[in-house]
Amino acid sequence: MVSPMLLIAVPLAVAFLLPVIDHLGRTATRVVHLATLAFGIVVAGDWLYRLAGGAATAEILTGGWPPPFGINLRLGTAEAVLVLLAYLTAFVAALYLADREEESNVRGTVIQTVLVVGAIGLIMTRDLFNTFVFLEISGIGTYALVVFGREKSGLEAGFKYMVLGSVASIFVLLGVAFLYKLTGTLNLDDMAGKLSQAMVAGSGLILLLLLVGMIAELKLFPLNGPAIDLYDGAEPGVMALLVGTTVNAVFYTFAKMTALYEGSQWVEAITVVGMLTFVIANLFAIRQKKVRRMLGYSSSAQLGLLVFLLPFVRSGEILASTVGLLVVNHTLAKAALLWLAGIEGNEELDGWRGAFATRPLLRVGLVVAVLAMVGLPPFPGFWGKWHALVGLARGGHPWWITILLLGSLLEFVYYFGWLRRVFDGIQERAEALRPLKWTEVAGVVGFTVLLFFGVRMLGEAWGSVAALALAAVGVVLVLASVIPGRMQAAVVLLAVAATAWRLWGTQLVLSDFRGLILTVVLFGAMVVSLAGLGLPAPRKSYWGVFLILVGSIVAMIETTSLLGFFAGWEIMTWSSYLLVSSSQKGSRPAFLYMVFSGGAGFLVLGGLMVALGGGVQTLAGLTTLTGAAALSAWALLAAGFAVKAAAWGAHIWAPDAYAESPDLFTPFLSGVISKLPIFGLGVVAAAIAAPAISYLGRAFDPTHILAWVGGLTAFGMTLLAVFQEDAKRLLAYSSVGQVGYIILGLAVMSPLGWTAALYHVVNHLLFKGLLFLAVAGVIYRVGSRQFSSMGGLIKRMPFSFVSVLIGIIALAGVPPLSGFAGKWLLYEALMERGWLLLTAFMMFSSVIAFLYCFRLIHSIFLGQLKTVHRDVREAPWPLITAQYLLVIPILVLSVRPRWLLDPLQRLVADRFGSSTLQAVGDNTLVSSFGYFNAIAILVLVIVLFVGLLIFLLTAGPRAKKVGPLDIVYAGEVPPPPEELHYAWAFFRPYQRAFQPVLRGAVSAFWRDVADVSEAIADAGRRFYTGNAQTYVLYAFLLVLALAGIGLAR
Amino acid sequence: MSFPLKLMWSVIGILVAIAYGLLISGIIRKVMARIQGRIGPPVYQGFIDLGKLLVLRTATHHGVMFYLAPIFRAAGGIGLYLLIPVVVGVPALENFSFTGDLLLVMYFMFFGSLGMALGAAESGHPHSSIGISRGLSQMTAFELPFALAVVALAASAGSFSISDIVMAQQGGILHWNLFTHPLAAIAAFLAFLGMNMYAPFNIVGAPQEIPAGPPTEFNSSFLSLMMAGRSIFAVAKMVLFMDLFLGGATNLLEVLVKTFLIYFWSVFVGAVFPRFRTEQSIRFFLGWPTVAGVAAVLLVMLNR
Repeated sequence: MVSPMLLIAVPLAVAFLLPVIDHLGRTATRVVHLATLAFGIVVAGDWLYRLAGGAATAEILTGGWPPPFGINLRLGTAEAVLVLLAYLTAFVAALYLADREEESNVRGTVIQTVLVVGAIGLIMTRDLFNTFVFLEISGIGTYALVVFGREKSGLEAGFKYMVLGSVASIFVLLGVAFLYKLTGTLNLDDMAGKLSQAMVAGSGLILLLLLVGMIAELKLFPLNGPAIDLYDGAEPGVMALLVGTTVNAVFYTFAKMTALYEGSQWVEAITVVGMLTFVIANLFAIRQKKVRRMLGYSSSAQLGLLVFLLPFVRSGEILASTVGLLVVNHTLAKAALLWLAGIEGNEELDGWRGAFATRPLLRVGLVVAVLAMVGLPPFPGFWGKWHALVGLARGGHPWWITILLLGSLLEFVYYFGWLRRVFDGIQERAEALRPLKWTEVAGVVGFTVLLFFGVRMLGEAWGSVAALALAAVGVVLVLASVIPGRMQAAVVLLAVAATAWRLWGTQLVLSDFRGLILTVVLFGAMVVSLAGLGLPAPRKSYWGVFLILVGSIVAMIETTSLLGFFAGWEIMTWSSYLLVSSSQKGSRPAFLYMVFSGGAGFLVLGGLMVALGGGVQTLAGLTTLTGAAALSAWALLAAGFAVKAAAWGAHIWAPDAYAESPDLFTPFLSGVISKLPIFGLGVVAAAIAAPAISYLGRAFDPTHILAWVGGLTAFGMTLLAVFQEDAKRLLAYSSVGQVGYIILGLAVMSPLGWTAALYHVVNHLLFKGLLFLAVAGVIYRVGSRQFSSMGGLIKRMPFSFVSVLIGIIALAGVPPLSGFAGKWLLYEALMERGWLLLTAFMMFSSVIAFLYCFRLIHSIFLGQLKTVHRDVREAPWPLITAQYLLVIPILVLSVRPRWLLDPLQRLVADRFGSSTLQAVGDNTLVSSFGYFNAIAILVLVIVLFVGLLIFLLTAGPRAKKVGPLDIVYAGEVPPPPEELHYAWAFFRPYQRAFQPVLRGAVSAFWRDVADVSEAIADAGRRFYTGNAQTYVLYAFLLVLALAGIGLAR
Repeated sequence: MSFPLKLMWSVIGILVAIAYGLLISGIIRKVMARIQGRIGPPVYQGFIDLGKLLVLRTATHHGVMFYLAPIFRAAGGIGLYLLIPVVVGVPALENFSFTGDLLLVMYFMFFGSLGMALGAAESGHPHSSIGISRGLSQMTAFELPFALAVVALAASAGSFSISDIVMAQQGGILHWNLFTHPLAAIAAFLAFLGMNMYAPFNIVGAPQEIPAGPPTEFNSSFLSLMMAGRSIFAVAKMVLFMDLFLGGATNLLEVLVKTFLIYFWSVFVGAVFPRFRTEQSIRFFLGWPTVAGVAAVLLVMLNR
């Protein structure tokens, strides 16, 4: 076993020797430098391995004196992780910086080594004065590294940093000195004991000095200005090094110091300053125009979060390992992002349009690092945040949870805003790129790979082999981008089919909510991957990400734990985000999709936290919640799922996301992804619905709100669909509206309502998938989504026409196809519940759907064919095959709705007892209000149809077919005759009639929200004047403010 | 009653209904002509038109959907008629109302219109498309007061079954929904004006604007089938309103009287008013008729 002392001694010695070694040549310097760091990695790694295996913590007594007389160093698990991280970062940073002249010459190398020494000293020491010394070493190292050979901005940033650093040092030194005076010891553990034994009079102010000094060292709000300037001015590679070494070390130092604050009045100050930093830095970051500055704010915010958690770690509410996960996550992700920023070289955020377009591996790295930064699974940050939140929930801190989640949402805004630019304009950018060296890339690749150690926890949370296997194949496909797109689609088809095969009969059963949704998911995935055989993949990584998406959904459905559910939910969110963004104009709508989904996710998370705070661990355990907890959990969950379902009020993300996502993905987005909030409502939220509803008693039934939200969604989206000029946007609005009916059905909370909702879940998958696929084929052949550029295609694309025809009849609910049963069930359920106005309202909105249904089929297929489309071919056969895979079940359902209704009846019977819906004879469905017989209608229609057709064929003369231009003109033949397809502004009079309700109040509201937060962020940025004097002033003001508050109490 | 017998009665019923529809439209034309100071066509003009169209020597069509459009139209009309019991309690005249309730009837009303719209649109004539756009727009608008009225009636009768609604009105003229649910009746009868598309709601066929609207391109046997379909569709709607508001009927004579009165209501209005613009028509239905319908529903909810 190597002595941990060598972890400090070796680099220190090497730092002194390097100038001598440099005489042997630059190569020798580098080799020795790297060898030193490699040695550190090996030793630290070895120690970590042993400590994790149960070895005792190493205590080193310098000079042989036991504490408190001698200075002692400690190497426990936490220290070992941080030391390893520091060495790893330093090693990769050294590689990265090897090509930068200033940083890689002997001075730079020495300073890098010194930084490592300072950081490791800080991490390991238990002596307060020693801490101060290492703080100074690190500080000097930082200025030196930042300032060396930089241009003006770097120099200035370094200077300001130094000024505030000096002030910080003064405060820290004063604090340390007074503490020594007070307690007579410098050993941290000793001092903490003495302080807590008797809070010596006057210790409050002393601790405050130390606290402000550390706030300045940690660069927390309001003293984070210079650090952010530093990110802006310094070389990103250097900043990455600092993140891995000094920043972590200072944080750990402060973590050790929290022992001193136990029981003092400053504990709350620590939490407040930490959380303020997290929220404010994230808020200010959203208006940044420069990448590195934005990353600086992000670092400040992350550090704020970590500091915020420290008092809870002391009080035992949160485990230290949770904070550790967050530290590791931040280090790996932020360093990778900084290196990427250095490689790309563009400082302006807008200059990142299409970045790494021809370097897919780096783009994958960027995406992974961003996902990790914002705390999405399976990366360590997610697990850290989850456990931190659970700790807060158990400790009874709902407000902290709320603020934390709000801050995290802001993080979504700017990180995904960054990715938006990266995904934007990928197609346009193909300039000659600077050749990359492996040394530059190594760090990014290595660190992003390391981030994947979070997958281990994913395996524990899910426990679904099928899901993990699907996701694993997905990851392989993402990396194997050389495989052609259609072959990848085939792989996806096989993988999903294999999963379905494996789960067939055991889990794919319609009489169980999970089984039903699982069936919907796998069937939908198979249909779109089959269609994928006929269309080019929108992006090379498309099918891989798609498989990850399917895997996450399967896991989400199969899991039994709340954690597993939420992990699946979030992976579903980001993978679908990536798919939406993968089309040409998808980046902007995808951004909006992600921000709203993020908000929805946090609402759901909030609901789950209420449950976890009540001691619930598993989905099944949710039923034990009662009272106010049940109501608040239910309300949060329902709100989250409603936002994700794009319910009215939060619908503005949906139309663009549906319309602009790749044609191959829209059917899945509409048919399957939109059903997942329904799964959430039906399985997660419904488990606590009963106590939640009964909590308010007869005073108010919260399901009314859900019902009207569903109803308004159905009506509003249907109305907006009518006025669209774009086929996919029309269907997008329609999809959201249809989900509104489903929400309404669930809100009825009766067996019949649920049967109606679930019937519609299946039916909507079928007809909307069909419509989107058919439209995808048309768009592929015609090259446009605009109605005005189509027309008359029935003659060129008859199979697609039949698909759309069947699709719209099923959608409109006109007998004899499957849609009618859905409408019938819903109305009967609403009448049973006594919601009469909603019944009539829904009848109205479902009739409005006729308008857009007709619009869709008329504008594309009927009317006059455009000259340019005379030779358009039918859609590719895989697409047609996929469509008819959906047509068959529609027809089956039309004939025998009972084949679906019977299992659904069993499903709802488990929850509510049997419903009023009964089958009389074989085919007549009877509810308490009405009846209908699907087969009788079908037979009636067919008999009439055939009879009349025979009549028409025999009676009268044989009809001659004439061309589309051979029509009766009322006196005027406008040239050219092709212009006569009436498709633009088809329902203009209708629009005029509805003008009062079409003012776009909801969009205006969200625009205001965005404007106001941006304005606040903009105003807040002025807080950081860039003037060193102001920063110093802030430090003194902070002392005064905290002293005022703290001593007054 | 055995099934073949029922079928025979239904066929007879269909033919009678078509004839009645043609006759009644002839009467209306005559009445309108007299109001305007013209002599007008003979009351049997509809039969002449139908016969003439059937024996024309040439016919043209624009494609499959165009060809099927009159079939959709006629099947929609006949089907609707068959789903509504003409005289409740007389099996021969109850048609196939066992197939479904009022909800089915409401949705089946659209079957013919939508099918015909598809065919008319395939003709490529812009006037057809404009007419369809107007027709669908207006159709959704009057659906709101009508749906409210239906919900009010069904809720108070406790059933969507037309027979049940008829049975709930037995026991004298004052038990008719027309009198027990006056607000619902107002909403529904205003909606009925839109359904019949006489002035001021004749925006679909709008003479002098879009000559015949959707059927512009239809000719010969296509048009004849369409005319027959329209006739029976109109009759079916009148029978439905009779069942819903006028307590149904006990014999055929009563059917004739009541349906004629119902039809005359829209003629009466049509003779007096000029045509609305499309958006005016839509706003009209979403205005007072809807208010009346909402009030009717609220009354039912309060009375429970």
